[in-house]
Amino acid sequence: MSESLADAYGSDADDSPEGVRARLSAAQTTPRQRWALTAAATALGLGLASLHWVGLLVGGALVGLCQPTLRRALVAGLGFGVVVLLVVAVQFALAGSLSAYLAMGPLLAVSVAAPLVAGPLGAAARGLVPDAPSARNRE
Amino acid sequence: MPTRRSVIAALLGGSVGAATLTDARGYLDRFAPLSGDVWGAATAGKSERVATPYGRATVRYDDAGVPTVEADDELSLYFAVGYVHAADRLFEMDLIRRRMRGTLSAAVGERTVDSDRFHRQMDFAAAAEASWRAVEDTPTGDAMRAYAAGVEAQRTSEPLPLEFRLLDYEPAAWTPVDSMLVEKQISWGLTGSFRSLRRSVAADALDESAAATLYPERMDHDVPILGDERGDATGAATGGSAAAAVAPPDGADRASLSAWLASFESEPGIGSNSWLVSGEHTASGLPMLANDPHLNLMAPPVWYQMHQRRPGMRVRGVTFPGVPFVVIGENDAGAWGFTNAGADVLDTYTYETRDGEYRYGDEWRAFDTDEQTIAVSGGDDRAVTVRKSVHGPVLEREGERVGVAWTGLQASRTAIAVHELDRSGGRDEALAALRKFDTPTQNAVYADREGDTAYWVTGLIPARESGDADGGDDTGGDGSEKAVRGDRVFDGSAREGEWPGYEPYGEPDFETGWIPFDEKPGVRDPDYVATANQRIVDDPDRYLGEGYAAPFRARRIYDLLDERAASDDPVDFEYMRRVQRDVVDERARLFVPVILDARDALDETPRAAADRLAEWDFRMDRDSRAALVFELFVGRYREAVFGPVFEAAGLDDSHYPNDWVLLTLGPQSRWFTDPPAGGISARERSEVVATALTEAVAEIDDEDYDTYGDYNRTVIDHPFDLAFLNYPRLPTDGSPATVRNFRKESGVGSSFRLLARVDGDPSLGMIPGGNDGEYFSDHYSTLLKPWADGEYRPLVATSEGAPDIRFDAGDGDGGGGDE
Repeated sequence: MSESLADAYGSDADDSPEGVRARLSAAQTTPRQRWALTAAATALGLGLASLHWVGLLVGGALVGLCQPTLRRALVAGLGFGVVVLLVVAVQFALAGSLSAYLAMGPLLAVSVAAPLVAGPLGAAARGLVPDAPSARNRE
Repeated sequence: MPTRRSVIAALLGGSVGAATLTDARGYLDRFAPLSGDVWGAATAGKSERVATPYGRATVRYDDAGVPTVEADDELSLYFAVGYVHAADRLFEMDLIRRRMRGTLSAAVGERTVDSDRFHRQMDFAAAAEASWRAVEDTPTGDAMRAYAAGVEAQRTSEPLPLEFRLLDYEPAAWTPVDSMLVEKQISWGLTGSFRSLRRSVAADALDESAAATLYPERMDHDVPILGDERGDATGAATGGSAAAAVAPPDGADRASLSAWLASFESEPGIGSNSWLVSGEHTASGLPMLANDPHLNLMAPPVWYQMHQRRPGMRVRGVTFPGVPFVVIGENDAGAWGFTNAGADVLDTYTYETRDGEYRYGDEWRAFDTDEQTIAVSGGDDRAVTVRKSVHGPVLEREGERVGVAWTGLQASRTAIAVHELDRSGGRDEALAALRKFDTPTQNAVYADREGDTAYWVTGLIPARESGDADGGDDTGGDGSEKAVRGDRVFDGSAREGEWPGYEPYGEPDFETGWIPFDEKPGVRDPDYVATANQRIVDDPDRYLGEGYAAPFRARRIYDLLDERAASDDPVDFEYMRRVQRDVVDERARLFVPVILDARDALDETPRAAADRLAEWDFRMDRDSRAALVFELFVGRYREAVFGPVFEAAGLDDSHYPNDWVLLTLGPQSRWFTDPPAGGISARERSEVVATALTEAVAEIDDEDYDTYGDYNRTVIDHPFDLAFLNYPRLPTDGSPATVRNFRKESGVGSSFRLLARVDGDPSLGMIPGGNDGEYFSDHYSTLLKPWADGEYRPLVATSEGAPDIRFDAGDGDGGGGDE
């Protein structure tokens, strides 16, 4: 558990569903925690996406769950897709094959579209749980 | 009203279901970023150290991806050669063996079922196995086993190329028999001609006179390879006369079969140029040699350029991916090249049949029949009946059936010949090697550093006989009663057109039943000699063939060499290069006057185009407007002369003759005065010319062409239907009839340009495209523009710098997948 969460909830965390939801909501609505969690979720998602394309969906879902609302989750999912493409571009550039990749027409289209669709789609899972209370109040 | 939660759950569930249960899954498996199978080909590094069961070797690539392989000994060398072939061309190699085995459809699906059917029925695989049996216990067999082991070392340890990932299959182990299949493909592409069948079909559909015009026994020109005035031609070049062709049997309707088979023959224009100039005529006093084979232009190229070095041998030039040896090139003793000889080494036979049997002389024999299954990726399997007679495969289409005899269906020692050629120490050893060059029949030219040169026809050419009681027709030209020509469809049941030494799918007696090597056309130390697939000699002692190319290129090369020889200037390397880059079109010299004669029948716009032709130098340069007009005119004129007649007779354009036949039809030819098909009226040649030119000018307008280069652009494509794998379209010079050869319509052209000298300065070469067939490589297509612009690269080995790959003794198994 991060220091900030321990500060917020004390060392004796409430493990009941309500407690977990409350802590998650707090993390989703605290910018510093949200960024840290989103970064961790992105890294985990990239790792999973390197193993199987389902990782694109799971990565999107993970970054989405770090967000306080569905709307922000969808934006974060799209951002995850963009990060995936940036990583791919760097990978090809390091291998000296970026220009060949960019010339691949329909194959390029599939590989670009996949994370841009899968990221937000996975992030839509955020909508399966209610928005964080404070965020709901703000909206 | 559904809740947000239920809508999202449905969306997620539906999307994941669609992605995993439909075709989308396959796309995602292959193309998803980060995890997709295909991207492994783009980002994987290559090993720099490789374990070899043989000795040490190194590979250094130059800045165009051309490797220099150096090794401690012969087997170490060929192991490393196998490795680099696989590293750069593994998919191409696999595609060739699949095509030849008839297993393409298992990888690529429905569109190659017909190809698989044909190749199964020909049973090239059994022919390749026969070749391997003839070679396996020789040093060449050892070399091919080491090569196969090298291919396997690469295939089993390195990432697969993009194409395998796109098609989602893994290649099988490489074996020496696969190398033999590559050789069979090359031989088939160069000599697998059903010309006699086509002629027979044309005679049936039109009439014998028309067929004789379309497929002349002899084209009326004076530039054979060996003329009386060109050196001391030996063997079959020394006289005799060919008897008249025998009319083919009529009544058969094999047009459909002939058209089908045409799709498995070479593209029109497969041929080559080579010429050899002796030291008598060169500035250096040493011979020079040029060669440019015109083969299918494809991505990656048909050739793989490389340098091979071991103690006692340094050879450079081009190899076929899948075969370890340098086929065209040079070593430290001399240089050599090949062009297609046009010899007739394929015959077709008809049979009298009953209940699955065919009559052969006095006996009835059962066809040797095998039921096979063609696996089809994404489709239903197909059954194919592989049927053989005493002559070889029996091919059938829509009830039409012929037996086929082809020299390539037997064992061939060509691998031994090329292996020995690479190691040869001069002309005598080279000629000794060429004696074993059984298939395909080629014009070989050779020059060594001692100044010795030679031209010789290689390959087994059958000495046909008729074995029945009626005897032969005495048309073979050797005076024997039994000798027969091969320019007809034979009655197989009557044992016509037999090849006495022939053993389909077995090892023949190479010395009996074939025209002996010393009796084939050849010459030592000619002043100069030029081959462009034209007639070899005017009056051969023996029937060699009649499927020769139109003489346009031969005329031009000989004119240029004659002109230089008659001048005070010796031939230098620059002149050799100038001849190889020559773009003067002899068709234009022949026919532009005819076009100008038709000027009065033209409207204003086509007349202006004709006027432009009047001032033209006949050069097919990319920036020439007149070249554009002429090339498009020829296509329209060909169609106008033959199209209506062939269509009325039920023949397709695979039966069209060459441009020599087309352009030498005079105004009184019956193709104008009395077309040989019902319903086609008499026409004035000048009217046909005027119409064709008018159409050509309209096409130029429609397509918005400005110069020849707008039309004459490279079309060099990958076998896949994916645009990014194709080479870029670049303007280039030359035409189907120029020395610098490029055939846009059929995708054929100079597949390797070699200018060889033996005076110590580097020879030059160029392939169209790139040496590395891996799409993500820097060398995938970098040589295309230099090739299109007629540039060359010196054939200089890379011997400095850190090796790109080192082969060190390891625990490899050393086996080559011996079959």
